[in-house]
Amino acid sequence: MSINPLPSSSVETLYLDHHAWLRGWLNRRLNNSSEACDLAQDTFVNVLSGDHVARIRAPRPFLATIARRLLAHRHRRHLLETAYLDALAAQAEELMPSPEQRLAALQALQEIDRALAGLPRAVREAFLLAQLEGLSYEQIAGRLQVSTSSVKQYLTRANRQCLFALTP
Amino acid sequence: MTPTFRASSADQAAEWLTTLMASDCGATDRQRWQQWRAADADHERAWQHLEAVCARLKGLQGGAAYQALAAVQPSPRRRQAIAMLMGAGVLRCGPANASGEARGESAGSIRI
Repeated sequence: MSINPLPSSSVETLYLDHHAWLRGWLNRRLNNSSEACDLAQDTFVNVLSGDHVARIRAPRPFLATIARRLLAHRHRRHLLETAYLDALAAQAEELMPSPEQRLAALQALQEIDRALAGLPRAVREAFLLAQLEGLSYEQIAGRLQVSTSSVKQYLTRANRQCLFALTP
Repeated sequence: MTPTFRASSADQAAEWLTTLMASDCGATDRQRWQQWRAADADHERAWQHLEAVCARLKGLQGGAAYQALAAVQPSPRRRQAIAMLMGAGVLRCGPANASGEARGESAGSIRI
């Protein structure tokens, strides 16, 4: 972890001046005051972990942008979780992972999803098919309707971005 | 996570993984890969990272993990958030201070 030379006073001012407003803003979207409180907290933690505080020109639009992204992130986690549980429900009983395994798998899915962010759809898909489904490059080429050499290019790109963004 | 190897070693390791997972990977490829690993301790560290992460992914095989990730749409890169903020005039352009510039990418990313 690098230590940011944070102007703590401006973070404090930001918090004091806008925390209540942000909670209200989030509560109008979530209609749940305890979740709004958590996400407001997360938003300030996020601001603290960046080094943008000294450059903020418009505090409320800035906080709202971060909060909106956290909302989107929360929504995405929910989508992944639902899709994962649906897929498990369709599997044979004896393949069902334990609750601890499910939690670890969900954590890993979120990390992979984040590590793949920004990659084109075909590159992402090629990576998932190779690494999680164990398909051959020829099978992937057939599915994606591209050449095997394209599959190799996709995989090198995704391997580079994703596998080095993940921790073992 | 602080990488303990050079970006160029990571680039090459990613290429080697693609080569080794191909059905047409032969003995010559494997020999060249071993030579690459032995040529530089930095190469080996990058390769060890890949192997360890791949082992973690292996634990997710079996359909459900793939189906879940395939079901959600690809998301934009997080780094784009900062460009958006600057475009909207919410943040001033340029680093907040001299050290911000030196940090390069970390100065341009919002961690979410």
